[in-house]
Amino acid sequence: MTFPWSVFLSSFAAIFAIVLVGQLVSSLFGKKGGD
Amino acid sequence: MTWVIFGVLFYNVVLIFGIGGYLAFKAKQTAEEGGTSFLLSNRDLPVPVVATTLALTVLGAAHVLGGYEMTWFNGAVTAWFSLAHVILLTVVCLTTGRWVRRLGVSTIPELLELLHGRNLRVTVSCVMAGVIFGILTLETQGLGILFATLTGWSIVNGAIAGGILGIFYVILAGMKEIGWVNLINTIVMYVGVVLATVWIGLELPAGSWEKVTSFYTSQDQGWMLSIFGTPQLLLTFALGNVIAVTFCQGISQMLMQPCMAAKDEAVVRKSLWIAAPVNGMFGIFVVVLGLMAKTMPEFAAAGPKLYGTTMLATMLPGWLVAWVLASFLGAVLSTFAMCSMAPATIFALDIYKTYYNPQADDAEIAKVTRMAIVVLAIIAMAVASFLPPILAAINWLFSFIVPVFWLVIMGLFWKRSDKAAVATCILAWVANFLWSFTGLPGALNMASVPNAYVTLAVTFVFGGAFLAFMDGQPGYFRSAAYADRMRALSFK
Repeated sequence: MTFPWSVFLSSFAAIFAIVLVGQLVSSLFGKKGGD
Repeated sequence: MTWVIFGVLFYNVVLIFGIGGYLAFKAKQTAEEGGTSFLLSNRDLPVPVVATTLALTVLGAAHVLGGYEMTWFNGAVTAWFSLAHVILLTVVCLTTGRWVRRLGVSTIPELLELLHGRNLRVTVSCVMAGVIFGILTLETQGLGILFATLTGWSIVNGAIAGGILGIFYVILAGMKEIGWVNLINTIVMYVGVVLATVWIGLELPAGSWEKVTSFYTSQDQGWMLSIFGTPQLLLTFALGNVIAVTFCQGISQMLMQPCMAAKDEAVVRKSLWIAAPVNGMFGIFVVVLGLMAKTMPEFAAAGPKLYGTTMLATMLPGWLVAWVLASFLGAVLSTFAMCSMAPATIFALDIYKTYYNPQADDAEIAKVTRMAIVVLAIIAMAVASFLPPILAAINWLFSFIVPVFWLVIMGLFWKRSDKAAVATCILAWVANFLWSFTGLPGALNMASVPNAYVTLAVTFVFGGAFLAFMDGQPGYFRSAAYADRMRALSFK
């Protein structure tokens, strides 16, 4: 993929990967957080 | 250009006074003027408002003015400055922000008293208010520079005009005003930035994108086009930003206050889906525009600080320049508003009400907060006039909050002790001073280690040891006090 789509798409993918990993970790440890 | 300036100011004045005035009028009619309404919007904010306020609170002068400069030197790896804020917002929306909303506290120092004790509350009140005030000074400088760019005024006059507009962004109706003005500003900002990028893309002659790529690859700088840059940049720039931003802002009053004002805990959790892309993608547009502008000699000649805005001003039509500048101004004003609101709230609740007037009612607290906002903003305008090198000090400032973040985590899940917590904070803060103002880093051959790493290490080593060996209570989530508090809150 070429510039600028490479930057846009990789950043967008990184943002959603961070959010999804956060949700996953949060649901795994949710009980300890007093949920 | 005069009508462009007029358009930018007209948009911000109409938005702020229109929404702020309407909300203040409505609050008066429904007799909702009290402190909870002004400070926390009666804890009724919905997902779109909480999400955009979280996103814009940590999207300010550093993103708007510093993004192009970082891209000039580091290339697309600058995206990690934005990704660090996405990680921060993930931590806030899934952990700390949810916990403060669940526990029904109004300030972070109040949470610290709940977990560890009153000594920690007062100690951190003073330091956290000071740290946020430092960021306020940076935002005021940003406003001065934006106004100076727009009008040709001096930065001092620009800082004063921007500061006055910033005061009205918050003082008319408090948290509710900040929230709803932010929601509209976010929509306007994104439409403007996307339009500007598309416009410039269409204006470029055919084959220009390929020229951008060949410009960097021909100089053996192909890594500038990848958000993963080089391994060294990933370790220093990317990881350094992630640690400093997440652990310093993750428990700061300026990000926690919108969470405390949310309708419920679920609102904070759901806000992540909007806050993360809204905050994260803004910086990516800046990176793409910056990478493009650097390849064009006519804009590159303006240098790292001005090449990006020079390209926007040259290639876009007047109405779109006004649109983009109005949204940049809105982004900085929104951060200014939260940076003045947060320390004013700490002053009103943790200092004034706790120590001087425990009987103060909601109306009195709202009045004291308004006065504190004005006083803090005026001091920030005065300080910003001298243009102190605050950007260089920002990592030093942020590092003060690192022990607070971890003491909250330890206090909630592991152990609580006022003495251990205060001792940990003082040690971490002394280390922060020594690292910045003595030859210690050089003597240890660790000059490149950032302050946040130092306060983080002190917190883990000494905080961990103090809490392990000193007397204390079990973690708050495991205590009877937590169960009692949840029961009491559910009856309200």
